[in-house]
Amino acid sequence: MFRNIRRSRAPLALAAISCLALLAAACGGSSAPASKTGLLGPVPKTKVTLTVWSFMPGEYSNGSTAYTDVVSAFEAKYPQVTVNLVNIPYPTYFQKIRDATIARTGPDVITMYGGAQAYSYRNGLDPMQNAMQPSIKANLRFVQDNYSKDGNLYILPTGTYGYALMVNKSLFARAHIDPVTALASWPSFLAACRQFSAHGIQPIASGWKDGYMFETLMYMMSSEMMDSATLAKWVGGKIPVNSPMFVSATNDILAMNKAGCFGNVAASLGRNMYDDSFNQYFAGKTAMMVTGNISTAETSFQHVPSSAIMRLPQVPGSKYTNLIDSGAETGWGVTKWTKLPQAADAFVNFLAGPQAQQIIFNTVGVPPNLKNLTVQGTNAGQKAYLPLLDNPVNHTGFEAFPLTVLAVYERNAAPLISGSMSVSTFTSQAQTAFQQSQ
Amino acid sequence: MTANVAERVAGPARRRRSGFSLNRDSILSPSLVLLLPLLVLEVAVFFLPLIFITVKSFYNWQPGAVSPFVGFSNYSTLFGQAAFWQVVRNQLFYLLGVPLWVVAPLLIAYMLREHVRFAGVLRTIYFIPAVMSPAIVGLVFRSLLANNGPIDASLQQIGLGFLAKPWLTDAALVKPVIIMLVLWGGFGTGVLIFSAALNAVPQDIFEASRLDGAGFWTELWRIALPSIWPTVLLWTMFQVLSIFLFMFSWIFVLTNGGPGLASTTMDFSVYQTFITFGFFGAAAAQSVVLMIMIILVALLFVLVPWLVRHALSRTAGARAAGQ
Repeated sequence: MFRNIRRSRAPLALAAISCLALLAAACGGSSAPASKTGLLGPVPKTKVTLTVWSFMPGEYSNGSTAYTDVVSAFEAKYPQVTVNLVNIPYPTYFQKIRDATIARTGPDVITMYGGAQAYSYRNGLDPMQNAMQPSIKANLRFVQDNYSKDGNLYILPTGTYGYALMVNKSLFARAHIDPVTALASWPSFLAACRQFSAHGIQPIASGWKDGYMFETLMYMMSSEMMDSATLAKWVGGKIPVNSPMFVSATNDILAMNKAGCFGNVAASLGRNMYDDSFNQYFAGKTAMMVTGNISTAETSFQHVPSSAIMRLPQVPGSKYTNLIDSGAETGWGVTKWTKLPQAADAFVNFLAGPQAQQIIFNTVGVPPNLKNLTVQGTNAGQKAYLPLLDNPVNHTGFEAFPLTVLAVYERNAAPLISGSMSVSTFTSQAQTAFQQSQ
Repeated sequence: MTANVAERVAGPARRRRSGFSLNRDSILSPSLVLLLPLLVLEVAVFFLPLIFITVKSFYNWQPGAVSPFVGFSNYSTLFGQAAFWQVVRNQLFYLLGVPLWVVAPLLIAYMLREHVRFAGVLRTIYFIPAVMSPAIVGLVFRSLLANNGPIDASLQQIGLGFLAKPWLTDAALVKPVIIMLVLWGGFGTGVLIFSAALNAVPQDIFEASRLDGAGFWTELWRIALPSIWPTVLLWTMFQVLSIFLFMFSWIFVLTNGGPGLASTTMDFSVYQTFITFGFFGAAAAQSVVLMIMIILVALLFVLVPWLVRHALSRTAGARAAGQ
């Protein structure tokens, strides 16, 4: 047998051909799949199973119930479609989406943030701007904020968040500070920080290790400085991150630091914003805390009953008088490789619609982002939060921050705050990352 | 006829010198045929992806979309980034851990060599971290070394609060801390390998040297070390290569590359560029650079001992000729 093999060059030739074929397949050019250009029509009557990947059910204690109810409602409306909702934990979620995008296989519908994040996954997402049902298109909020710089809307935004300050009124009273006066203007806010420090009270719960605290403040402040035209330019990728607006926001954060707003900086460098700084507030150790959603606010009310929710004062460069950084809680997109585009579009539109958003609000308390759906708060957190969100000028520039820039912010936040990195180096590294993303 | 004789005489010598013959029979020998599946597998899972990635590093690679050819643009961008050089510096800093990762297990293995009670138990204890996943060990140490975490709290409790540090969040401390943790993780394997090598050295050599009055250090330096030198070299090479290849899990779990880029390694950076940012072409270029660095390091480990041996034999030859 060996003799025959020895005399034959077939195995070597076969191996060589296989290798070349594999190489050719691997290196071969790939063409961009055609994207849909409009509503795809009714969902076919054939029985199908739609696979949906999301981290949202795991984001709230009863999130699983909420999304199961949404799926049931959808399946009742489209009995031919069965939805297989797969909950993937947030820490590994985006890696799995990236893997699926490269492999061109996986779910039909995914949870995805809009703007820059969606743009980063654009090879796997179908544009949705022409796939919105008319009633959704007419009523959905934060759509403009979620466009990507290539002019496509890769996700339909759902839900609402809004960054605000939790205020511990007891600690304000102990420091003889009136919260309304203190948070009325930027100078009075910084003065309040100094006064808290003088009373040995940490003004704002803080943790810089994960960099999210810096990012959050950057969103809050830069959104205040963006009028509609500026926001449109920013969303379109036309404003660099070394522009005066972002440098000014960075300096405002440092001004807060100088005024003692973040307490002992050395200690805060080793803390995360999530959940370390939250725990500081919940333990009653700080006078204020930055938060973005109602469920955290509700937890705050449980731990610190004397809590209130207030706006961050408008920064010196603000174009508004009462804006808070507010946008869609998340978004949903249809993958390019789906073989069920009509069902996928229908599901995404359903998620953005009033029935699903009402279920989500009732179960996990996320306010809807629909002009034709108003909800009433039933607990202290909701009652305090909803009026801040109900402001037509609210918007966010958050979605348009490129991932590379956010990574630089995250890794350089602690060095910036500790003073080991200058504003110019910080900004220059962010700008390099911005250019890399262009 | 003369030529045939000359060929017959020179042939084996040539073969001996090169150690390899292009004889058709030896190419298709049964052993090579048996190795063929492995060879094909190796080509399919290693060399082809390598070629694939190298090719893609010259493109603005967009999986599933048009990927334009960009020449060396990915490389020039990479080399122009301060972040890249910071990562290279980190990589070089981790090299400082190599002497520790080699010497510590070598010394322990040498000390456990003879007349130590419960030597086997001690070796087992040392080996336990090696059978634990770096991810799990990393998670444990991340909690232990957290700011105001158990280690800092314990130091405070026993009046050594001045020693409490932000172990993983201080840019100056994080790399030395990681070096120590990697030592802890790989120590047992090193002890085991050096123990095995030392056990293969005939004991009578040590006994004879002792009769000649050799002490601990003389035995170690003059007998043990030269006897197990190839093992030491191999272990050192593994340690150096591990800095380029196997630091990912430690970094991912312990620090996520931070603070800033202070602990980021090349493999972690490739992962971030590829998975987090979706810059596939740039990540491919970075992978190629990493691969070249690994090949250079491996070559260094082959060439340097060869050059040393060559130089020594020439010196010895010159001495012999002089005498």
